[in-house]
Amino acid sequence: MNFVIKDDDRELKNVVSRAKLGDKDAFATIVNALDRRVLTACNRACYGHHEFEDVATEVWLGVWERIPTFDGTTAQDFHRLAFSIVKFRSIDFHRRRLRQPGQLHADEDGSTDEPVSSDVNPLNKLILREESEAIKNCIESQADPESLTTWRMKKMEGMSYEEIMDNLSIQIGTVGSRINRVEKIVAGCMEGHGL
Amino acid sequence: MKAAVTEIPDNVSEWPNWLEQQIVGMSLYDLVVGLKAINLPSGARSTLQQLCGKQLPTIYKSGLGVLSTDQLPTLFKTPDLLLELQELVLVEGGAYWDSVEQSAEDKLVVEKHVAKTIAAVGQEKSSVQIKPKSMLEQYWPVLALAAGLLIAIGIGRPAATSGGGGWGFDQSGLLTAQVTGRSYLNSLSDAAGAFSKKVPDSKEAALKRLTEFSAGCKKLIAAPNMQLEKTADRDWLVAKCTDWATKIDGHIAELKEEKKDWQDVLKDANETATKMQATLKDKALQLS
Repeated sequence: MNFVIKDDDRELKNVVSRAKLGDKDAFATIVNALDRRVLTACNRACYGHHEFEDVATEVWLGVWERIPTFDGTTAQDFHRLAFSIVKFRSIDFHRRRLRQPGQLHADEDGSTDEPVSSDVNPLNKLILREESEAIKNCIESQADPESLTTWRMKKMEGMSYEEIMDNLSIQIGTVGSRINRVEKIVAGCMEGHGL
Repeated sequence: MKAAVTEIPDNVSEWPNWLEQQIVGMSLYDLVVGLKAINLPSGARSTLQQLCGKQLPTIYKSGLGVLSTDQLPTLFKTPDLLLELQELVLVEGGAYWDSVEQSAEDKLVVEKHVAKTIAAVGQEKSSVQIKPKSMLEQYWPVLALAAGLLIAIGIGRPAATSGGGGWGFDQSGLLTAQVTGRSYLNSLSDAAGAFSKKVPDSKEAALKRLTEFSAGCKKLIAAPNMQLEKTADRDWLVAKCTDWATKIDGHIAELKEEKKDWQDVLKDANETATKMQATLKDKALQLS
């Protein structure tokens, strides 16, 4: 099945109307077309935890339950239906995890210095902060500040090798070796770290 | 955790495409963690609205190519914005975002998950509920008459034999049988061959038969298949069956869309079943 949700949404309307009547083949067509987005959303909501695929299956079962009352007309309406269920199911997932001992540790006042993005609730912020701080400690215990600065100039600022050489008054070989060193350290720290 | 941050391209012109792949891929969270870990703390930070608010409709329609080389580094330096952008794109993004290239790893995850989900939904009851009361109200005189007749002629009892658990891969006990891997694959081969043993006499019958065949395939994909000792063999079976399910669904689509004569579709479906049978037999022979 090479079904694609087109921007004109006509094809979506057709399959959704069949799925609303209980046509499982039509629903399978929707799953085929949109599962990539649902899986990506669940992966992100579950922070890459291996259970994200099970959460995504729960989401689809939730969509199947709700589809008879779905009255949207665009692909975006359908995405909103699916992602509202992603949010609920991922909250259930995190609650289950939090009940397991030794998982997460909130500050007493729950405070954090991280910026707040539109969907990042305190729990999400906490998990993200804990993860990145653990990696940060690992990187900083092994990488020298000069190498980190060089890496940032290349990979986050997009500076050319020549610009970095001029800025830091170092040779091209040094730029390359610093970047390689940082990447090896980062890879070691991140690959050794898992949920 | 994947060290996605080490994969940022050296060439800035490759950043938009690479970031698009991250946004609809399954490693964005790992990328954000990596960026936050390696970032210097900074004071004032941009919001997504400040960075590219006016360009968002274009981003939804045609991706990140619209962002300048001055805007892109801000996404790396304020990685929370990437998560925010991802959420917006997943909901509001148009067909362009479904066409963004996927890594082989992600593709496999999606393919397996689609099959698993379709099988799970297949086992669910229809979400459309029929109200028994209104049916009864509508048909009670007919039902009463029919019941009276059944009692009178003595066929109201349950049948002595039940319909069993279907055919093909949906055959009762097939997927839970405690047998060796070789024997399991041989049974699956026979089950695939069952498709050709009954010849449907109409387009509707062919559609029903193919739909049942496809449902069986999806049950096999979702089954633990622990009869096969090696994970590699189980993965092989799931991958093969995912391909076959896609082919069978293709035959179903052809029937529904009437692109071909139904008997030609049936001929193609028989060929698919024969190939399935042979592939499973060959694999069984390879197992010690």
